[in-house]
Parts: sequence; C-alpha cells; structure tokens
Amino acid sequence: MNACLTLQSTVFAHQDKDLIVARITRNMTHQAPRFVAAFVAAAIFMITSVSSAQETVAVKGGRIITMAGEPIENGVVVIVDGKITAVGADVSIPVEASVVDATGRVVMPGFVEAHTAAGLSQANESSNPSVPYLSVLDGIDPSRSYFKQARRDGVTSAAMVPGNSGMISGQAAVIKTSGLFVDDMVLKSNTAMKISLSPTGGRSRMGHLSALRHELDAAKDFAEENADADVSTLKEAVRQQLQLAIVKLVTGKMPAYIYCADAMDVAHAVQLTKDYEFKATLVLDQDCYKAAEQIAAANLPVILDSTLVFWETDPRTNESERIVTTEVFRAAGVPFTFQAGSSNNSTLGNNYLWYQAATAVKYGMPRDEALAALTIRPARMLGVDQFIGSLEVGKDGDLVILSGEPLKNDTWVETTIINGAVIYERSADVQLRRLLNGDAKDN
Amino acid sequence: MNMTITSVLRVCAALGLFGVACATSVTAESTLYKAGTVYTMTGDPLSPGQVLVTDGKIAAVGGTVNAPAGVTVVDLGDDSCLLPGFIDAYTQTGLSGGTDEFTAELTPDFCPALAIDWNDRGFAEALAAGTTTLAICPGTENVIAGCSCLAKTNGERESRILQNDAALFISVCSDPARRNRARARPDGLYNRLPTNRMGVVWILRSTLDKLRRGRDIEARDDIESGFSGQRPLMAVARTSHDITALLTIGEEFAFAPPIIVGGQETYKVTEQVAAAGLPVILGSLTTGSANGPERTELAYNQAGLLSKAGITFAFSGGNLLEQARFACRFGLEPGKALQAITKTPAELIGVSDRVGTIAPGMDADLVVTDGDPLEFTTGIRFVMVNGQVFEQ
Amino acid sequence: MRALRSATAHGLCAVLASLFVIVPLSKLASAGDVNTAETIVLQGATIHTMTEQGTFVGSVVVEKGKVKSVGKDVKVPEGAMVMDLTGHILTPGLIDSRSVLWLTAAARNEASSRGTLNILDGVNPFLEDWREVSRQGVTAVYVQPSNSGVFGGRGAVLRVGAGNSVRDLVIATDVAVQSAMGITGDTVRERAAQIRRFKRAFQAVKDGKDPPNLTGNNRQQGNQGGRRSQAAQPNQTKELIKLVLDRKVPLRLEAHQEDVVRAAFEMADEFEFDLIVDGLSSPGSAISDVAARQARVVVGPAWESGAVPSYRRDRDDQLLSRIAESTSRWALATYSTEARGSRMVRVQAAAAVASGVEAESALRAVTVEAARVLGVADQIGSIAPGMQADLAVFAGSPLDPAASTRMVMTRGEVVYEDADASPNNSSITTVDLPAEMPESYVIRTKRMLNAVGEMQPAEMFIQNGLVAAIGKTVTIPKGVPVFDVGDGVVTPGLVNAHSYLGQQSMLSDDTEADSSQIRAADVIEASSPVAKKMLAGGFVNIGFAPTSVNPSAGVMAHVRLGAKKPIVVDDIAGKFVLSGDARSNDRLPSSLVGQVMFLNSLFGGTTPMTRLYVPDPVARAIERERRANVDAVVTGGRPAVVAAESAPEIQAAINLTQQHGFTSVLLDPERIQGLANDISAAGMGIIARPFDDNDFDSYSQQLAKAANARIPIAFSGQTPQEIRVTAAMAVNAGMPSVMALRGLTATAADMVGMPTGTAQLNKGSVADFVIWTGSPLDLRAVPVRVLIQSELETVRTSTGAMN
Repeated sequence: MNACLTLQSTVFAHQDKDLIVARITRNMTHQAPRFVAAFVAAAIFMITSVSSAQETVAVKGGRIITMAGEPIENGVVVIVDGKITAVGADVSIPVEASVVDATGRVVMPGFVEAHTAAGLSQANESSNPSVPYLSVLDGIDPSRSYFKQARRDGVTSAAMVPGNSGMISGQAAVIKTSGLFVDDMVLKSNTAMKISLSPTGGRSRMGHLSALRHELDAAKDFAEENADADVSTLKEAVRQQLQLAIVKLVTGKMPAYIYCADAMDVAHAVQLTKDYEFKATLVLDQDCYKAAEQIAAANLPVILDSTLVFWETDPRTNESERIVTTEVFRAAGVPFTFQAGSSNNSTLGNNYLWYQAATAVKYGMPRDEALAALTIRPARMLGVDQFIGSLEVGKDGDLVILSGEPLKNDTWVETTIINGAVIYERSADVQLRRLLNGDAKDN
Repeated sequence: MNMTITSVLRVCAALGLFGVACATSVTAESTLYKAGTVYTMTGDPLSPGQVLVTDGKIAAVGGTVNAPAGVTVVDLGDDSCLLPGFIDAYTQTGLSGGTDEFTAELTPDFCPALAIDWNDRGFAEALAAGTTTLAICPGTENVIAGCSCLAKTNGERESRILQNDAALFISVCSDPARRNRARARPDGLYNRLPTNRMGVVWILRSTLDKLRRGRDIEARDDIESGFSGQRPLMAVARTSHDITALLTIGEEFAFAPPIIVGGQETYKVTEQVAAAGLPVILGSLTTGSANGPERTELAYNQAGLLSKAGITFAFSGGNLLEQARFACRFGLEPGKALQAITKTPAELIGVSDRVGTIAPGMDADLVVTDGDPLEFTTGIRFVMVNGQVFEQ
Repeated sequence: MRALRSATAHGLCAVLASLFVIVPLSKLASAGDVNTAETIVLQGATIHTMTEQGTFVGSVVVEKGKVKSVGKDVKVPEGAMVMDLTGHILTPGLIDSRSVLWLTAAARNEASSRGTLNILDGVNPFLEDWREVSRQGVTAVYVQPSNSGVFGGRGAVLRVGAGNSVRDLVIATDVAVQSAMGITGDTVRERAAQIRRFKRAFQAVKDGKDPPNLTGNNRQQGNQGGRRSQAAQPNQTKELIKLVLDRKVPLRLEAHQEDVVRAAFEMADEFEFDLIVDGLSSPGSAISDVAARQARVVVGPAWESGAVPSYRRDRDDQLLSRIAESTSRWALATYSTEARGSRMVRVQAAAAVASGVEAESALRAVTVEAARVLGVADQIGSIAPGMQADLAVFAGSPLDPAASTRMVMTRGEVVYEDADASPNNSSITTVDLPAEMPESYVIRTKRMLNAVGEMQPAEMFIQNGLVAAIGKTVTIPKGVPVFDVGDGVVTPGLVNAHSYLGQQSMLSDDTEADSSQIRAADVIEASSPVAKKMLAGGFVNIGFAPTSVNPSAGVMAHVRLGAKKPIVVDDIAGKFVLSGDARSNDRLPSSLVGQVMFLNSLFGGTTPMTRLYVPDPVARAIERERRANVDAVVTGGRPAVVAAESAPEIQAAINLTQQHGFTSVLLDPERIQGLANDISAAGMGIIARPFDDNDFDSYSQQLAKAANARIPIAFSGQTPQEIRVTAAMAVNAGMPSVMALRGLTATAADMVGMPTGTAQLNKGSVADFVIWTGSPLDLRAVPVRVLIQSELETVRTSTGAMN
C-alpha cells in the first residue's frame, strides 16, 4: 500500500508556482485578509509567520494519532499562529498558550474531503458545457449548512469542485471549512480542472468526447502558438485570459478531476491523460468498479462514489451480486479516498465522511488505511500534504478531538480546531441537540 | 461451459472477496456453535456462549452446552457474537404487480402472499443484512389495505411463509387520498373516495360504525378480527396529527390498541401514546428527507425518546442493524437497540414463539458478527435461516 | 479446456498491459500482440475456407491467435490441443456488416452531419450483449454513427468477445466514413438538393476550400461544444472528405432510392473515391449500375419484425436475390437497432436463402464478402494461414439457425463452447408441382411429419379433400398421379396457438374486469391481410384470442384458414390474464393480488355484476353468458389459457389451476426458471411468445429446458416468421426438434382444445397439409404449396417465406 501512497502523492505534487503567484495577485487585488496572505507567503518562502501577534494553542493529554508514525499516548500538540510547532509526549507547553484539555480523548488530523460540490451555490454551469475559466471561489457560499455539518463531523479541509454535469466545468480549490469569507478559507486555489465524461445536453458520449477533444486541441494549439509568451503578459486580452486555465491543463501545469459516470468512461479518461499529458484524479460513479484493473494499470488515484455497497442483478441469469467497491479497488491495488453523499440522500449514513471509512473497515479495509484515507491520503491526492493531512511540525494546526477511538459508534467530535483556532465545540452545538431530540424538546 | 478470463476473475472475486450470499447449505443434523458472546435476548448476553442447532431448531443454549457426542462443533472465535436473526416488521419486499388495490376503497382481504416474487433481490439484500423474517405488508393507499404476510428471507419455498394473514393493515394518513381525483374516463364509474385526509378518517369511522351496528359490510370477519384484537392491527400514522386521530378513533370505537407504523412524529406525542399503550414500528430511520406526503419532521433520537417514555418500539425497513447502530449513536441504550430488531418486532407481529430470541425450540435463525454488533465497523460473517447457513 | 483457458489468460493480460493508443486513421494491427503459447487443432469438421481451397473435411491449426494451417491432411504439431469436431461444420466467424453491438443506447442514435463522430467513443466494452451474439457464431461487427446524420464520422469493425477496453475489441478503425442521402429527405426534390450539397462539399474540398454545410439548414446537428469548437468543425469535415478523396478511407453511403444510388455512383466516378453503398432497399433500375460496376454493397435485413423504417417499407421480396445476382461484392447485415440483434446474422442469411439467394452466396455475404466490403479481408472472413483465428463451428448448416453452435473462437480464444451440440443435418431442396392439383393424387416424400413429430418416408393418397390412405407405402389406384417430392417435407397445416390475426382493436374492451362473455369467434375478419400471410406461411389452424386487457378475457376460437373464407371451427379455450396488461388504474383490479382474488372468486362461483349501463334483462343475459363460459372451464373440461409472465404471475396461475382443478396452459411465461417442476406437476403446458431481438438467450434456453422436462410447448405470434424463428431459436438452445415440430402441430392443437386430430395427417382426416422445401424449423425452407381440403389457395413460395 505504501507504494500506492507514494504514487498518488506525485499526482498533484508539482506545486505550480504560477498558480500560487496567480493566487497572490488575486489575493492582493481582492485585498486579502491577513491570514491568507500569510499562508501563501509561507507556502512559497517557508516562513512561519509574517507580521501578526502570535497566538499559541496547546492541545494536551490526549492520545494523538498523528498519521505520521505511531500514535502518541498522553501527548501534546502546540500550535503557534496556526502552524504546528511541536507534537510529542514530552513537549513543554509554552506559558502563553491557551490550553485545550484532551485528556482521555483522541486527537487526530482534521479529515479531508477530496471532492465535493456541497459548499457551492449552483455547482453546475448549465448554459455552456465548457467553462474552464470559472473558479469555484466565486461559487462557494460559506454560510451553507455543509460547512457547519463538516465542522461537526471533523472535516477541516475540502476540495470544492464544480459539479458532474458539465464538460470542462471550471477550476477546483482546496479550502478550510471555517471562515466568514471565501478568501479566509482558501488553502490552495485553482488546484485542478474539472472534466466530466458524462454527456450533457442530450448528447451521446461520442459527441461529448468529440467536443471535449476539440476544446483541448484548441487549447493545445493556442498554447503552442503562445509558447514563448510570458504567462503574465497573456492577461492583457480577455480571450487569452479565458484560455489561461485550460492552457495550464494541456501544458501539464494543472491536473484534472475527471468524472466517470460509467466504467467505459475510464478508458477515455486514461486516454485523455495520455493524449494531452496531464495528471488526473478519477471521480468515479458506482459502475466504474468494473474498470478497476484498468485504473490500476493506469496508476490513477480515485475518489469513490458515496455508495460503497450496492447490488446488481445479471439479467441473463437473474443472479444477484453484492458489490463492495472498496474491496474491488483494494484487490486491484488502486488507492482511493471517499466522498460523502449529498445531504438529501436518504441512505442512512453515507452523508458522513467518517461513515464511509467505517463501512470500508466493515468489509475488510484495515483500520489504519481507512484513517489514512480520511486524512493524509486525500491531502496527498490534492497536493496539499505539506499543509494538512497529518499532525507534524510545520503543518497547519487542523485537528479534531474525538471523544473516543475513531470510527467507534459512540465517538463524537468534541472539538474541531482549524489553523489553531477552536471553531467547533460539541458542548456548544445547539443545533445538534435540536436535531437529536426534535423541535419539541428544544431548550 | 466456457468463460472468458475476466468473467472468471469476476466470479472468483465475487465468491472470494465481495461475499455474495451464496446458498451453501451446510446443514448438519446437529451443530454446536461456540461464540464470544451470545445475545439470547431473553436475558443478559452470555459471554462466552454456545448454541446447539438441531434440525433447523435451537436445541440448547448456554454458557456451555452439553452436546451429544459426534456433533459438529463450530468455534466462531472470541470476538464473534451470535444474535437472533433480525425481524423487519414492516416491508413490501417481493410484493409484485402492485402493492395496492387502489381501485377499491376497502380491501381487507388483500393478501400479499398471493403475489410475492420469492426470487426478488430484496430478500437476498435483507438476508445479507441479517434479516431473517419479514412482515410483508400492503401499500398505504387503502384505508383498510389488507393483511400482512410473515415470511423468512430464504429457505425452501414451502417453509418460507410463517403466516398468510397475520395483521390487519390500515392507513390513517393522507396516502389513500393521494391519487383520487376526477378521472379522465367519461363514465366515471370507478372514482373512489377519499380525496382528502378528512375522507380517510371518515371512511374508517363509517366502516367502524357499520361494524358496530352490525350493518352489511364486505369481508366483515377480516375487519372485525383486526379491530377486536384477535390479530394485530397495524396502522400507518406518521405525523403527530395522524397519531392523535388514531388515538381519538381508537377511543371512540374502543378497538384493540393498534401498532403505529411509521410513527415519525411519535416523539411529539409520547405522553398520549404511552398512556394509550400503543407500540410503534418505526419507519426507516433517515438523517435526510422526510417521509410520506405530509413530510414529517425529524428527530434523530426518536428511538431514544420513545424508549425514555416507556413506549415499545421496533425498527423496520432496509438495513435494520445499521438503523439500530445509528439509534444508539443518537441516544438509545444499546440493549434496547438490539431488542428493537429482534424480540420486539417478533412480539408485535405475533411470531415470538418461533423467532426473535435464542432459546430452545426456537427456529435456528441466527446472525454471526465478527465483533460488537453495534459498531459500524463490524461485519456480518454469516446468517442462518432454519439452521441453513448463508455465507457472506 | 483448462489448458486452453490459462493460455488465453496470458493473451489477455498482454493486451491489458499494453498501451491503448488509437492511431488516428490507420488500421490497428490487432491480433499481433496476442501471445497464445498453445497450439489448438480443430479436427474432423467440414471446413468452409471461403478461399480457393474450397470446402472439405479436414483440420485447422491455430497458433498464437492466428490460423497456422488448414487442409485435409494437416500434421498435428507436438503438444497441440486437439478438438474433435467430426460431423460439424466449420466456417470463418460470421460478420454483421451493420450492427449496434457494443454501443451505448445513446450512441446508437448519435448522428452528425459534420463528420465529427468517432464511433469508438460510443463503445462501452463492459456491455455483456456480446455473449448472445457470440453464441450464434458471429465474431465481428461493423458499427458506425447513426444514419440520421448525413455525414456522421468514422466507423469501425469490432470483435465479438470479452474485452475490458476498446482496444481489446478493435479489429479495424476508420474503415469507412458514414454518410447517408435521402434518409431524412423523403421527397425527390429534397433528395436532389441533398445530392447537390454533397457534390458542392466534395468539390469545395477538392479545390482546397472549406466545405459548406451538408445538411442545408443552420440547425446544429450533433454536438458542438463551446464557441470555438463550432469554428473548428468545418476543418474536421474537410479533413474527413479529404481522406475520402485521397482514397484512404471509403465513403459508406446509405442510399435507398434509385436517384440517390445513381447519384452516388456518379459522384464516386467524378471525384474518384471508394464507395460502399449501404441499404439499397428500392434501387429500381439502379441495380444495373450495381452490376455494371460490381459495386461494393451492404444490404439487409432479409426480414424484420417490429416497426419497419419508412424507406424499407415497400421493399420488394425478390430484391436480395436480384442484388446477389448482380454483384458478388455484397454483404448481408442485420441492421438491428438492438445490441443483441447481431445474433440474427444466421436468421438473416436463412431468410436470404428463403427469398431465393443461393446458399453459397448467402454464406459468403456474412463471411468473406463482408470482410472484403468492410476492407478487413486481410484479417478475417476466410480461413487461410496468417488470418486471424476467428472461427465458428456449427452442429449443422451455418445457414440453418436451428442448428446449435458447437464452438466459437476469436483471435484463437474460445469464447463460446457447447459440447452437447449434436449434429443436426437439415437440408433444403427444390420441389416441382403442377399449377393445379387433380382431384385425387398421391404425394410421396422422404420426409413426412408424423403425429409423434418425426420425419419419415411416406405416401399419402388424397381423394376429394380427404386423406384416403397414408403409410410408408399405400396402394395406388390405377390412373392416380403420383407426385414424388423427394426431400421435400410434408407437414400438416401448422398451428399458431394464440393470435389476434392483426385484429387487436376488435378484440379489446377493458371497461370491466370480467369479459368472459366475449367470443373471439364473433369478430373473425375474412380478408385480414395477417390471416392471408399466416396461411401463405403454412399456418392453417389458429387459436384466435381476445386481447389481454381483462383478467377474464373471453373465449378463444379455433379458426381454420384457407377456405374461401376462414372457418370458425369452435369455441376452444377460455382466456384469463394474470400479467400486467389486465391491470388498470380505472377499474378493479389494479394489482396482481387483486387479479388473483378476482379470478379466485370467479372460479369459485361468484359472477360479478355488470356495471355497464344496459337494461336489466341485457345485464342478466351478459351475466348468464359469463357464468356459462367460466363454468365451461371450471367444470366443463374446456382448457384455460392463462397469460402469466413474471414468476409470481406464473405461480399464481399454477395455484389457481390446482385449487380449482381445471386444465390450463401458460401463455407468454418469461421466467420459467425454478418453476418448471411446479408447472409440470400442475400438468400445464406453455405457449411461447415470439422471440424478440431484445430477449436474452435465457428465454430460448428456458423453453428448451422446459421441453426437456417434458412440459408441452406450443408457439404463437402474429406472423409465421416470428413463430418459426421462436421455434428455431428454442431448438438452437437445445429443445429436441421433435418436440418443436409437435409444438407447431399436434401438441399446440391439443393444448388449446382444438378437436382431436387437428394438425395430424391420418386416414380419413381432412387433407390440410403443407409441402415445404425443408423442415419448418429450418428457416431456409419455404412452403411450396399449402393445400386446404385440396381446394388449395396458395402460391409459390419465396414471397411467403420470410417476408
């Protein structure tokens, strides 16, 4: 499995300086709040902080599952101005630290959701299937209940990705699940281009693929014509600016999410990554388990559909078969992570990210691997593992304090900390109490 | 016989990895199962525990069992747990060709057993989830909809049906009014009542009135036996006003206490329901959208609130164990959660003499888990129906 | 077969591991990298090589996915696996030159007029339909964008076998550019405009300009992405036309009418490109152009069920044989719009033979000529050293669809095998009879269908419309002429156990659930065209039935066709319906439970009151009539025909039959599986519904299993062809042909209560019989003469045969 982990880490690993530069410019022009600017600077220059007063938080006394080595009993995590400065059993707590007592509890990195559109208001652009220039940053609604739910369930970072029903549907971003404004939340913008292979607008796949290749060819031609042009000078013409994102894709500077609705789409996805030389993470629907071998051969990481277990009936024999996708992909040696189902999905449980992991364990996935698939593995897939995914010095101070061992029935998230700030406490969660007991018992 | 490699692989994978519920009959005459814990549901769990199964029945159960020489012994390991097969007290699994006879108002003799597809995938899905007994009920579009059929989820066809006409099933909700409106056909012969929820109650009341006055009424015996308590009466009621309407009519006509089916808003009227002594078969627990045309409100800890109020309840529909797990997470005591998918539904639907507990003489319907049954990470190793083992 | 399987595992893995690269516009060498270590020798079969080597009994050696050698005496290489196929017939794998196999439902209808589509993008390699197709010996299919676009894009030849990727399936890409003229434009004027547009577009590209729009309107056909892609499309159209003009890829043009066909040839001459003409359903005199040029053409289907597209509706029955005579370069295709439809290649070929095409020519049209027309003859279509090892082995003639498939191999990999397929040597012959038969005569044949369903030599003396004597030999009175039909087959007039004869609308009334009073006999239409076709196809005795819209549908009649007007022999069976057709939201019952309860009370003696607005005496008369007809079934011994499709419906039918103790027959059951014992225990028979392009093979297989479990089977349908196809497919799946023949005659007659002796030829019985060129189960065979009590109607043959 280690081999797989390394493989996937390479997918998003080319930290494209252009992107980050672009991001800075964007932030500057938007007069970005202090924190984001600081973090971007940190990303590039690896300085811990810039200008503000230091805030120190220490989480002490818990069993710390760092996801980077053995768990630490009765350990301490120190977070200074949003970054972890110390993790261990024998760590002295700075005097100025505000201390969060986690005695008897479990401390883990915050969970990472590798693909969701739930934080977006209107996730699909329906007027035009090809909108590479769109960015989810313009569609994120920080007040959506998704974020509240995410903090309650321990999800501290999520990749916001345009929906599945376009063709080239725009650029994704990795954001933290806490913040009043979008710019406060961004961890990394324009991380990947969303491509969907599910035909839109009444087309068949032939038409869809034909149009998709055309877009990509055109972008490639454009990129070749402008090969010598400086990225920054391209911004002058509006048309060129619109092209920028897709040019990055076809020049290998930006990876893609490719949504495959059916198993047959997998071959096309693989082919696209070869023809146009970009890296991709596959977002799979249920049927794609049939292509597990092909995905393994192509070495692509995947994000599983939220329905992990389902039944199929062979119309020839009328025999029914239960499919457990996690086991299929594990057998094929394909690294995967989860996504939660939509909140209006009535299938019990699958709208919780932790429940996806518990279900995978139920059908045979080792517990440690399941926890990795909630934390460090998606962080690597998203190319943000230098910031999140594990509790290590230098990473963001994103963690959850659980009431007990992870994935246990009676384990709840007691506290969620993002960038060193406590942003959720169960004891103060009035909404949870109301959901549990209904309006009539609300106090 | 010839398969291509991929299909061979797929079949191997299906057998070996995904775990299909293959009907591998390994019924020996007598088998002793040793488990880490046995939840008999008749008392405290036995840990460790042993169950002797002979000819499809449970012969003995205890911390240790004196098994006759030569029986097959299956040691399930220290982590394993043995539970009674789960019982789904309200489902429409397998009912084919329409779940309702909605062209008539009253169909008290509607008998699902006449139209069950015994090969329906729903049975395999239920079995794989540990459910061994189902109460297959008519749909909710008739005020008096028919009777329930009690059946096992697998086994020889002859032995699968436990009872053809178990409970009388009625609907005290707006469903029977949902489809009724002036029809396109000009003759209009077949328009039926009710067209609104008041009409639902009116039909029920007028039927009960006819019954009380001894008026002529079709299938009188079927109706009477349900309301007089000779057999269970199941009444679909979801919102709090459905439930209060049911309570009111029940008081007015003094019929035997019905079982509330659905009961999504029972938590709002716990005192009345507890006082009237009505049990509840909770409709499928969800954390998402609401149920029924009326869109009921949600309380995740519905089961815990009912338990606290002293109301008897069972879970139903879909994966029962998973529902019990979530109910626990949201506040129900673990012991009650297991009761609500085994012993309680067995009692409510009237088959507690055969299923729902692990005790001598009961059907050998067992679920074997590889750990604490109420943990989300615990898998079901195999399920047994009448002593026959279905591997996962 | 174990060793063989492990060998192919290597091959497949190699394919999987190799890179999947679609090389634009060049044909992929597809089999080269299949690394099958083992050598397989197929021994003892009669081999149709489709090359100059001809046909002989011999062996084929297959190595590494290719044919290594073929011949009468081939040395068996050391260590080779030998398969003994003595008594079987081996041909190249069959080819369907127009198919939708492997295509997703959406891709089957995807059309473009800008040449933007590559059919490979619409291929779903995970579909399982290939299994049914493979079972019939078909190993390759041609697929392309839909014909509703005038210039769709690239077509491909695909393999029929398991594949996890498109790469595994490709035999050749870019084998043709799909185009069509006159499909969407129906009038001559519109067609002329379209021809002009085509010419203009080709001229433009020849002159190095961008081609104008081929559709002639600005409506966007197909699929444009963003704004830029629209601008990019003409380039693609241009590129593709250029390829055609450079003769790198042929233009495959679907054209049906004379004017368009001729225009296509003119265009090919003018612009000097390679042309394949596709369709040709009403070519008129343009057929002489086909002959003059020895043009490459794809034609078909030879017969079709269901809705026929407008351009094929008026097709002439002799068309195929005329085309076959005019050019040797013709391929036969199913043109099916269902993925599994390509399994009908053999049925199509048989139908072609029935319509007058030479058997050899028909076989070539689905093997070597198909490969030539598609431009893949260097890989498939014949058996010669170096060719891809796509082979099919049949337990009889490849052109007799009733003969089972023994084995199918693609690229040296066995994809289907049936060791139980036992040789079936049906043959067809020619029969000459005078235009008029005399009053008395003797028919002598080597093959007469007797009452048990076997064929035996016999003589039959006909006198005044009756069978005066019948036996191996009969005493022939002096002066009575003897007609020796040799291998011609003589059968009684066949039985269609359940039919509406095209009169559905007269036979339906769903006002009330109980329509027991309805008698089909009351509405038989003498001049019904369906009845005429039925008779011409050899079916004389019809179970004429009310439709299935009521739980108690009414009374079936025995109709004997062929006299000046059809003769209603009798009321025969009561019809009852448990299937979904009889459920209605407008009256009780709307559910299966309701149907069962309704019928249960009806059989138990309760007659529901009619709620029709009729005077009381009329209502009472209706109720009396209903009661009488139900009682005739429950106590009077009249059989019940019970329509039941799903397992619970069948189960309910069995329960009702047993509970009320009457005789009954299941109509149209779909899921017999698992219920065969119960059906048999209840003494019930089965009337099989017609076989459908969309059926899984399990349907035929279940019929075969039921027959082998001694459940009597009869057949039904609305055309003679579909009934015979159903029977043939059941035999193909393993039903004993004796039982199938009885199911077309005596068994069927008994089952629905026709008088004893119906559809049998005994001394003294009325002489209703049919003289065929072969067995009715062999779809190549046609009825030469249908004789009804000697006062015969019917005509010569091929017209009646499959169309």
